[in-house]
Amino acid sequence: MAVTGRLVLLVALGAVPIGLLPGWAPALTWAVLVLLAVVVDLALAASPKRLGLARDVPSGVRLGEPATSALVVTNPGPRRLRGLVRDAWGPSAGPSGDRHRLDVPAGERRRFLTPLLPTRRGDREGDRVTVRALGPLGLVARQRSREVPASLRVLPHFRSRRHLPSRLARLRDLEGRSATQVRGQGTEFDSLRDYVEGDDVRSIDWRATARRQELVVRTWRPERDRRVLLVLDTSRTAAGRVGDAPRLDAAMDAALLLAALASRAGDRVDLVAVDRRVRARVQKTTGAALLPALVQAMAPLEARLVEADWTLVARTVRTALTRRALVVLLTPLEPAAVEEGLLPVLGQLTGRHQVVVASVTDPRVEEMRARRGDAVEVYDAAAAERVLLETDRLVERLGRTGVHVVRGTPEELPPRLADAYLALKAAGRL
Amino acid sequence: MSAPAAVRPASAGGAGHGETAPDPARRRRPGRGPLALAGLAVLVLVALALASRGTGQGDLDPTSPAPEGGRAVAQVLEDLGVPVTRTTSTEATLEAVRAAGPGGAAVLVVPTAPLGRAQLEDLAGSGADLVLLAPPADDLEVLAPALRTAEEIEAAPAVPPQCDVPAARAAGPATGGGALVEPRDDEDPSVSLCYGLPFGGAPYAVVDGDGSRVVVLGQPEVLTNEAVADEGNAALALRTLGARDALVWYLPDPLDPALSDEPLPLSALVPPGLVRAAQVLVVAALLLLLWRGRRLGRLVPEQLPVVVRASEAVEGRGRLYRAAGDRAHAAAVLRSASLGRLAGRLGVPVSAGTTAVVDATASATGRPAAEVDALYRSPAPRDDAALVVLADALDSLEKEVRSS
Repeated sequence: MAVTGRLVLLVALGAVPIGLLPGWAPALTWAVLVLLAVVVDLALAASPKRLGLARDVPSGVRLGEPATSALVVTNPGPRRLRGLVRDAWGPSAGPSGDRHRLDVPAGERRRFLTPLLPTRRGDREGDRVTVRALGPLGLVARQRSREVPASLRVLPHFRSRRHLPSRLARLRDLEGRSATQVRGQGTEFDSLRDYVEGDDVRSIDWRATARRQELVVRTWRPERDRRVLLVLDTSRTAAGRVGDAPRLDAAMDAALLLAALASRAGDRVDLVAVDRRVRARVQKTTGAALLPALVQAMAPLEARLVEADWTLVARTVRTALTRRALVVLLTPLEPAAVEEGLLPVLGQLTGRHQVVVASVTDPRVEEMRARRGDAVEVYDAAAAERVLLETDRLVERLGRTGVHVVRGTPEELPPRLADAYLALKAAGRL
Repeated sequence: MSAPAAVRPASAGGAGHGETAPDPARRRRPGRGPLALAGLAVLVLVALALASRGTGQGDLDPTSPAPEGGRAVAQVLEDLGVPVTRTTSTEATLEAVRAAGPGGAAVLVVPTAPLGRAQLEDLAGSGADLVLLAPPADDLEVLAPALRTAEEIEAAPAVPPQCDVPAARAAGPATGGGALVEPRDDEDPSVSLCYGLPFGGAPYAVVDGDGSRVVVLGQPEVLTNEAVADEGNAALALRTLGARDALVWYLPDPLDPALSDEPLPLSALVPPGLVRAAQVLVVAALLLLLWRGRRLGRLVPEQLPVVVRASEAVEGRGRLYRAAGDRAHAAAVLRSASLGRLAGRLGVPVSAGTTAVVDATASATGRPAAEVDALYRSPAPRDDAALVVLADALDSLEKEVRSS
């Protein structure tokens, strides 16, 4: 039940006759009249209990893009439904104008649209729908909230998509190089074809030429059907925010770009997200289904405040991969955390696989390093220098064990990782 | 299909035509409703206050022609040669009594506001005859200690006087009832009761003192314009009020500052209508709270993400350096980082040692080697200012190397 301004006004207006007329009889009469009006109004209001409520939301939306929640209110009762309805969503779903004026004639239904602009990745659950049904006099209303399950999955933004065309062009260049019939690193035998003028004489396949009595050359193409395993670290170091988003989101962005590129290059891409447990896994998905599967798997991931279990990572990699592969560890390079967790198990990975570590750096640290305003800022600069020196030393150490390290701010990391992949592919080290 | 009607969007109308109908809930700005209500409440209270003031002046006022007024009696008294002075304060009343001359004056005390003890004593000592209209018990105690209040009954028509008081006897039957009084001592010879009813108490009592007398008139209707012409009311009124040469018609003003010699309960000053209206408005205010306080559904719970800045550990380390005042460490870090960059820039391996890098830097910039060396190998800065100077010097050196 809820009262309205009209009831307040009605009661307040009663002060005039009650004040001017002597005795308590007018007050009593007024109270009885108002109570009667309230009871009648309440009795004649449409029942919010029996309404049919249904929500209709899109299954998924990219972070930063608008969506619409549709609420269908069906009035099966004999009375016209007037009042208010609230299609409640959490703040991170970004609802604007979730209140709607209701006017549904008996036996009809209406659709109310609430625009949403999600501000956080993950599953955004719709909260209760509240209906306030006004009586015909508009003095009081019957109010009821009800759970109407609805979930909007907010997918990672994949901002680095814009880097994809240029990287694909480079990939085609790489593949185009197969036209030269030189066998290089990172190539595999493709086919035999007739010699045309201009072909490198070194690529003539003499055995085939002898069989066919015509000059035949071999062609080569870059390796295909390599395997790429993306390991997404969701532990505490990934929770740190760079700018407005956690490092995890930047790592996802880089992973998505690399996955898009590698799947076009004909490689098989798998994903595991790990902290102390395996949080998500995408396996044996290829072609057009890969990216949707990845974003769906990434959407609900949140960084947790636990230390990553790198022995679990090593074990997972061992069981997931039977032959040599590219293992991309998307984890921030924090010297202390890496030295204690990752370094001891790194040997198990580098022995069999090519390992790339992709780390999101914070541009703020660079900023702090360059500041020289006063003593406070110089101390901060010294701290930043110290951390950067330690990180450099760590990168050097990783490099010695054969690990390729890619570092960059959230904007720089995805293209850099893609470039590192292309370089490794060109060098035939997959 | 169970639902017969067509489904149409709520924001109907011209969504497609670019002219969205304004949402009525949004068009009405919030907060104006309560303001309007508050304004209304103030208006009602002011109206009631004005109205109640109006009636207060009208009741038994010698200038009021209303049914409850007293102009008829006052005018007839004037015609009979008894000047009537209307006063609203004790001071003015005593002044009027003194001005009345040798014949003396009668003072009619109308109970429009409770009088303080000091004022009652002033009135008692003025030497004038007092006519007390339905006096409260406190007034009686001071002005006519021989009497006390009895019950209050409805007006009774045509009650015979049943006493020897000349005024009553001349008037004959008059309107009785009202606020009755009775003597404290039944045998008191100075008290005469008139128009009494069988069960004791009387609306008209005369107490004869030495030189002045006190008349208690418990039935104010005897004086009102409406009822003064009934039965013997007029004669009773004129004889009671016109017994002396002048009449002072005292209407105590509740706002007279002299009344406040003893703390008055505030409720005595507020007309009862106003109290009732205020009580109704309190109920309305409670409903207003309910109206504005009722949520349309609960607050939506939100699972908040962890908010840790990635650079927090670095900032913490900087604060630690500062808190410890560890200039030596800070300077060493700045120097070694600078050396590392210079070595990279000049193509000298860092492992070659500080001297090699310093020498290469000196030859690249043309600065004396000793000066460069002092930058990198002098003792730690003594204070924060020196640390800032050192950092700036390292910066400018690096800049020089970069531009050379």
